[in-house]
Amino acid sequence: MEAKQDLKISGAGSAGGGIYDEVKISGSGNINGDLECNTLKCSGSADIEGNVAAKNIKFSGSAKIRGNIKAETMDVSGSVKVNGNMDTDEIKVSGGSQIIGDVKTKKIKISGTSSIDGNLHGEEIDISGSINIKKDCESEIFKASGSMNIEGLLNAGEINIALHGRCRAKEIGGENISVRLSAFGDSIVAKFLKSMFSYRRELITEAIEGDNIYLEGTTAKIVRGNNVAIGKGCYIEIVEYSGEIKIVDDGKVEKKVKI
Amino acid sequence: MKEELISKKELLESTDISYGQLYRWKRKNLIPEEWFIKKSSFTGQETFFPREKILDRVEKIKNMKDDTSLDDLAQIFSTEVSDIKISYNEIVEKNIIMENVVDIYKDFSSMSSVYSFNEILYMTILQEFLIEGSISIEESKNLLQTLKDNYNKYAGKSCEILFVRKMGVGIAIMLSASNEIYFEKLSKIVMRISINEIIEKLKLKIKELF
Repeated sequence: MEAKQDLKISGAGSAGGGIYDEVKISGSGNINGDLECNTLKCSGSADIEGNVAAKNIKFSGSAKIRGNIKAETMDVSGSVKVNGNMDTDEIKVSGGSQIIGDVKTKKIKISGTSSIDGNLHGEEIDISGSINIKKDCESEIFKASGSMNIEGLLNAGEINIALHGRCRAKEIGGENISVRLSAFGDSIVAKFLKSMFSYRRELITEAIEGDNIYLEGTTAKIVRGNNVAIGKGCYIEIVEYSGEIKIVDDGKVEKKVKI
Repeated sequence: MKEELISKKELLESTDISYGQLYRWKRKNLIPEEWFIKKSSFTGQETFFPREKILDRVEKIKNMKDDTSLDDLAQIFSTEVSDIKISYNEIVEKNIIMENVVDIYKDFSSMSSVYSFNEILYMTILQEFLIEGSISIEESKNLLQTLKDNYNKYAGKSCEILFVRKMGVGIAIMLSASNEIYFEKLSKIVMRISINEIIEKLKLKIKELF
């Protein structure tokens, strides 16, 4: 087997695509083709014209990829823009990322900000930063404690949302759905913040459908489920339930229908 | 040809499944995205499904989910062709396709000892046509040629094949699924088959070989 070479750009430079072992861009680099490598590290500014296939990717500078990304792990602490689709095992975003296509991954952890114009398919999604998804979001486990805006359907087996700010989803569906107001809300800092800004912890959605549903701070047109509990700060127009309904802490429900 | 629809609520009631199950199956791609039809109603939006297709699919999933994993089921229901290869002997022994149908195919294409999934699919379609007695052996070459030349162009999308005869002359036609098509009076649609349904049936048959 031929040994693969490394590619290092540390000043300003450009290279064609190709197959490498390690690629490091620490200055400003242009890559004018498809790139296949073992590890890709960008700490400067990078512009990749083609597709990227790599085992491990680390972006700590600013990078722009015009094609698709296929990788095992991807770590973003800088800012990244991807014009194509992404197919990975694990993504960590603590910086900012913008993806124009679809994202498929086993695990994704977002503590920074991320915006996805396509669909997000994952097995484990963990959001403590903020996320913006233009289409649907599907996952086995969905955990969010930051802010989120999903313009399509949020579909997950386990949905756990701790409300710290304003969250939106067009529709939510799944097996176990739990939305809770964050504990932080009653602290002095929060009260201070509330008086300073229009700080509201709420989830706004059209419809929620699931087997077991627990809601706080949620405004929805319709909630359908087997066992439904409506708690503090909720305003629900219609609840349709087949098992039990519980309304606690002044949750507001306009109409209850047992099916 | 307007499809009858069923609302999500009615579907859950009549099949006795929960919202959670439905969403899970959607995530696992057991129910195709295009079956979720959104229509506006007084509560905002309501989801509908093509009645016959969804009832049939839910019934199948319910029957099979105990001894087949959801991922395997997804494989069966997907329109993607699998890359399986099966030998002549196996096809005949396992009763996947009748021997004389395979022989017709052998006459038509060059001899080979193993067949790809697509080739087996063509044979299965041919078998359906021949069992119905709707086409002759001579015409079956026509049918196979049409499939062979055109099926790949649909690349995973659902499509149909139909056979039309006018004054004794048969024509095989392929079209993408659920299109309306009309002919002049003298021609008669002899048979119309959805290739997706055949794929599903075939995958169930060769499930053990995966």
